[in-house]
Amino acid sequence: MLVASGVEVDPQVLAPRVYLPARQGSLQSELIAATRHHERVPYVLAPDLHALLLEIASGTPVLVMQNLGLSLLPQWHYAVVVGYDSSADSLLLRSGVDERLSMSRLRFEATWARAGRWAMVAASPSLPPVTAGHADWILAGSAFEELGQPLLAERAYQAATLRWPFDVIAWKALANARFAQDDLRGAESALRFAIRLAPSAAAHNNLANVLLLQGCLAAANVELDHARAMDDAEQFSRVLASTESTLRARSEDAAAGCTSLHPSLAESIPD
Amino acid sequence: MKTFKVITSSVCVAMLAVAPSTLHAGMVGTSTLLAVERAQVGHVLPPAATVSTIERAQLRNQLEGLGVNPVLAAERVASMTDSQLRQLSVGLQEMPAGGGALGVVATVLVIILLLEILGITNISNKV
Repeated sequence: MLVASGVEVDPQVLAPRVYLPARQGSLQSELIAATRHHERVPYVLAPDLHALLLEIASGTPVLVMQNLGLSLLPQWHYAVVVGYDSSADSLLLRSGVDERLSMSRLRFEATWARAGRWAMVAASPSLPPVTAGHADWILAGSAFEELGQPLLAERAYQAATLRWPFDVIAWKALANARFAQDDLRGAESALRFAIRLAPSAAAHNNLANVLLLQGCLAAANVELDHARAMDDAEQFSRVLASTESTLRARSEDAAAGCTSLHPSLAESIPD
Repeated sequence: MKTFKVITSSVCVAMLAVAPSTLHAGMVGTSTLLAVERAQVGHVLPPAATVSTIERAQLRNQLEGLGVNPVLAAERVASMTDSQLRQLSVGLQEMPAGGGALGVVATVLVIILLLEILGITNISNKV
């Protein structure tokens, strides 16, 4: 399936996207962007060795940044941790030209700590890393929404609803990604589930928008009333006002359409 | 003090909520939902303003100044989110630029692809 979808990663192709000639290296942000470019979710791990080892144990290679120099004279370097040998207490790295570099845990931790313990995995949108937290995973997925790829965001959010089925933000995010793809029925179903889990002004408001675009104006009005009655309505007052004005415009259009349909139709028919 | 903090977060949320977005005007977007949750658990909210076209152009110039081909610089800027651009535009010179990325990034991506192709992680039919 992935071969068919044309995903291929060639260092020669990657180079022009991440390399900064004058700095003779690559920035973390650009590696994150390049990961997204390959339709993977760049997930930055919690800065502790425990999280890194859990990812390794689950079979996920972890990209790390190390400082092989000194704090004052840094030598920044990327490597991939691919294994941990518990008997030798050493990590197995793929680093530069060395495909299997064994480094003691103490040496690794020292070089890693000097680079802020930065570690990232390139996850499939459908499979959050084992150590992922729900909010950080959704945030990582929302970058695809922002960059105009709601389908990938939807896959990430869908995976979130499977991993954390009672996380209400995952359902609201899923609705947004579906909405962005004009899947109004899908958005409606995710929002109704979110409201059953925990009603909120945001969910009721968004449902009102989804309903009004489906032409269900009365139902949209009911949802908007629910939204206004919520405890957290005040912080969304401007969004609620925007929904209200759209709804009013639609209602006026609908009303105008009903009365003007017959005369205009009559006029347009030639004698 | 606590009241002040609460007021600031609701102001920021209100600003975020109306920030221009690709989403329908009346919808509460995902970034706002996350910001609201983070404000509730005491995190600091991200700056609300979106990055302007001018800021994007400035960053593109900075990348060109560091030796990136102009066409690619535009592409690289386009592939970044607002929050990334905001970080980069203040710290492009100071941020650590690591060597050895080219081989290893491909490794991270390729290993995942191989696992998927071999069906070990069985990702494709998960959902």
